[in-house]
Amino acid sequence: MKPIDKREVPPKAGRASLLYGMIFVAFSTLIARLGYLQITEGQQFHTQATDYQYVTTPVLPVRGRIYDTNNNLLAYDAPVYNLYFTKSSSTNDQSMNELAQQLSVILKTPAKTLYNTMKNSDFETTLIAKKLTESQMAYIEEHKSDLPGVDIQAASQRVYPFGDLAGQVLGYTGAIQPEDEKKFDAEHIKYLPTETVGRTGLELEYERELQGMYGYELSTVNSADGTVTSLGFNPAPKPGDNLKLTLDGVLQAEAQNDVLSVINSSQYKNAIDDASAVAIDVKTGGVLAMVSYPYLDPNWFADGTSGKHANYLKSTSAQMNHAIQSPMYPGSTVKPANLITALQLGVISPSFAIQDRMITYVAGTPMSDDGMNHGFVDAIKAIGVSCDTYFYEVGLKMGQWFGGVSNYQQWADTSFIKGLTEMYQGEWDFGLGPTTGIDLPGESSGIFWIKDTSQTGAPARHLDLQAALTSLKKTGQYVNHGSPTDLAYAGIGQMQQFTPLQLAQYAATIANNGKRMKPYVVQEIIPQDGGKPTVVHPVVQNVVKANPQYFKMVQQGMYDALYGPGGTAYGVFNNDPYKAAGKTGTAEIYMHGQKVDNSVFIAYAPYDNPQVAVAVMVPGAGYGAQAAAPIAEKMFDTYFKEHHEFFPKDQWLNVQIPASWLSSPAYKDPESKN
Amino acid sequence: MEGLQRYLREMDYAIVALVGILLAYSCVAIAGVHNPLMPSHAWLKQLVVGILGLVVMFLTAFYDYRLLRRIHWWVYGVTTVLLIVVFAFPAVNYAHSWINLKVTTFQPSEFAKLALIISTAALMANVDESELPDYRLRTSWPFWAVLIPPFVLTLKEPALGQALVMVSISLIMFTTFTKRTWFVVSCVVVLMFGIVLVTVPMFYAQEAATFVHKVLIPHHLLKGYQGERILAWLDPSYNLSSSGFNVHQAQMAIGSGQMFGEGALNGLLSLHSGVPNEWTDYIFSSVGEQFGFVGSAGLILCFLALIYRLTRIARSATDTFGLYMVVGILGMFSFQVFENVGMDMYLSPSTGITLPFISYGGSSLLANFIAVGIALSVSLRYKPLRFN
Repeated sequence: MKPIDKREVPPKAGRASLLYGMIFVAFSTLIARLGYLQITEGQQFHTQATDYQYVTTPVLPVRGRIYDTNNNLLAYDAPVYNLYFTKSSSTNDQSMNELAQQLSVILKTPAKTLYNTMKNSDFETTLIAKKLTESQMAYIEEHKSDLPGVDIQAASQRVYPFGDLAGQVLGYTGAIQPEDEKKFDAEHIKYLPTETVGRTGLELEYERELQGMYGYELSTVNSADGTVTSLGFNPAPKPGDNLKLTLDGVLQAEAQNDVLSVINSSQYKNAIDDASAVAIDVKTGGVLAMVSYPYLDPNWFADGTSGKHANYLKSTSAQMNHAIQSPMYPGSTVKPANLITALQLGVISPSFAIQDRMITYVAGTPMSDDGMNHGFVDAIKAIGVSCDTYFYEVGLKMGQWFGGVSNYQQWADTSFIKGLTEMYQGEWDFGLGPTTGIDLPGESSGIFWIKDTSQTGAPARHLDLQAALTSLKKTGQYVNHGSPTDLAYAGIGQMQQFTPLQLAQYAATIANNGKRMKPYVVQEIIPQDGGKPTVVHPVVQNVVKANPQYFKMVQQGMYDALYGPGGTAYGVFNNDPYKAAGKTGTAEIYMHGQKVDNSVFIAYAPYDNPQVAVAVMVPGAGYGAQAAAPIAEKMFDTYFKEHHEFFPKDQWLNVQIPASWLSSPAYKDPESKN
Repeated sequence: MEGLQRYLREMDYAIVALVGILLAYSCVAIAGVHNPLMPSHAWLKQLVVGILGLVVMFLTAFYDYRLLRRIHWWVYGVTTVLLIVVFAFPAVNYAHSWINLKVTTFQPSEFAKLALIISTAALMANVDESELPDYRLRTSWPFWAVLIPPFVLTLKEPALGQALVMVSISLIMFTTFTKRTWFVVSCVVVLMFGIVLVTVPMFYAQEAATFVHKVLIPHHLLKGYQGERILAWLDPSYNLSSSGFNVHQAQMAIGSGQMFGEGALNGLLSLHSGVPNEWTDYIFSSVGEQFGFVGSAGLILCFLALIYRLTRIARSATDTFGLYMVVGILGMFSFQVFENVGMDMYLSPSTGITLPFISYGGSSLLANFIAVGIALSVSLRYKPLRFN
């Protein structure tokens, strides 16, 4: 072959011409086809196009469903049919009156009301009845020709089939408000003004996933006879993603009944305003149950019956999720954390022991051991019998208070605040204090207190833990007006406030030997179009650095609290086929101007190979072992019966939420109140 | 300066005028569409990008295309990496085709087609210019090797239409490159393909539909929606409420235009969202409805004229690198026009392919202007510059 001479026309140019020829032929067929469609058939297509009027109507997406961990359906969109009235040029007072008369019997609404609704509406189309029954629909369809302007339209309504089951966790939805738009715009979610959006709970937290995306339906209206034919969607509405929770519906249902029954049988029944209980999976941090009393049925907001319960909603805290929004004094439940902190810092040795005395004097203030004398108390016994004196000593040692100091202010600004913040930081590492980051809106963080002795009456003030730690690190001091009693009270959990969720995470962290798992409620986000589900993986938030031996000591102490002689919750768990470990707390609080006890309990089980951790709080219900511990015990029972462990086969529970829930006291409780 | 003046004097103004007319067509076609899902002021955005595109086209024309041979691997590499980057961005309409740059989105596959043309042309020209050119089929593998990465990545997005354009680009360029035997063979193949395209829906629609139902879909040779599109092509009344809806509406819009159309911005269906995605893939129906047979056949003639001018450039190119590139570019345009317009009229199954210069979309428009710019660059260098 000869090399190509570049000055010549390349020999391939002819091919380009041939190629053009082929393209010419192909494009000619396009023009020929165009001619056929537009000239030969054009008239027909034109008639087709003009005979119809095209109407584009927005179509709302179906909101994602919510399932519990065993696929019990907890929330879904149900189709409903509503009745609308559209005014036309022939509408007048008389015709509306006639319509109202005719509809009043079947809709069971006074004709006057219907008439006023139609007449006073500012809109062309007015909603006159919601949720039509089948017989109502049949009647209206049958008499359509006598009911001009009356129209049935499909819509959807959120349904929570189990009523108040985990009501505050699920949350509820409501009509989109003008002020929402900014918020959603910022998150790049597009909404129609007729849409329903999540207002609280998971419905709000996962609004983006649950909502989906609206579409448009294209229909033709035949101008001759007015028949409407749907042509299809452009685009089709995209349904929202389904959520699968870590929540166990059976455990939740039983726990709600357990909480209610303990409250109703409590001697302090009338003084109790609220209560909460949380169970979490020790290994993953997944929330298995989250109870917040008083209960809330989200259906009230979906079907428009909240007005009936207005007084209940206003006079109680049913709309709050106390498990994550109410930090309260934890009492002695903080002792395990404080013990580990003191041991790890070397403030006390593992063999540190005291001879109990009923009263400890701290800078002249007498501090009682709750009227008890525990005798000789070592570290493990101090947890089991919950010896306050021991933890006064631990607290005071941490702040290096040995009865007195030469320069009080200098001590307060250095040793005292160092000891106090070290204790608080130790608790913080266990999850007591920081927000846990759970996937629910409105979580509260904990509160740490410090007294202000510079003011008369030494009022307690919030301690800014981070500011104190930073200052100590930089300058070695942090100016404050604390009191040595702060150390002693902090040692027994009277200077801190934590949420039940934080306490549950703390219990799980003890069970996990220091590994703190982030609590979460949603374990899977499942697209409805068959796409790949997003699986939420457990997250380790931090690992408490402490000698494993110290964890063993604390765990032993918590075991003894349940089974040892003098254990503070002795007797509650003794008949159970499994072994647990727990810690009671009885904090002094004020409610309705009365000094009462906050009944607190944290626990995990089984003792040997922990699976589940719980925290229960019933403010005003007496000792920890009185109200909180029995609730926790029942929750463990349910958990193991449902997981077919320890209990004999005849006591095993099904994972389906039983129909009996719908007749149980906890289900009926909020419904009976208005 | 002398050079620039000569460029301006010898510029192929027929091509400049044609792309100008196409841009005008585009703006009116887009302005005539009303759809709630359309970006606001779409026609204006198209005009602004179009004017920017004209500037880019001139700059590309002044750039000596022969320098592209030195950097073609870079161009190819960057566009291929961008085709991978799209998977890091959330899918839009179920396809990972766009890179979201916050202020605007960017569709790399449009530029990957250009990179494919440049690299294939460079490889083919290397063969032509070697001491002993080797045109055997077995040594042609590099041309297919450069096709595979962009083809597979685009198919994976999934954007079947774009992937098919890439294949057709490679085939058309190869037809120009290869020995006479293979040239004849490929001409026969194209002819047969054309015959199949015409006869199957006319005489064997039933059998073909059964084949799609019983063989192609169950054995996952086609994705569900791809099978649906073929079925809709075979049977215009198939599944009108979903998969068959789009083309049915598009054909009705075109047909209703009749001889002279409803007039500018006056389409019956276009103004009522009657044709889904009308501002992008189904833009031709807006032209057909507004301007009737006269306007839409005129648009096809404009394309034909543009392709004719490009063929002239290919013929007079000084080197085969330029020739192959221009053939690749005109092949890309021709395939896209034929497929895009044809699918609106049941001449071929529908795929997501844009109508060059007309469909709404910045990446596509810009890439088309650059392509024409490259062709102009080839035309300006048909003879050496004269020095005084």
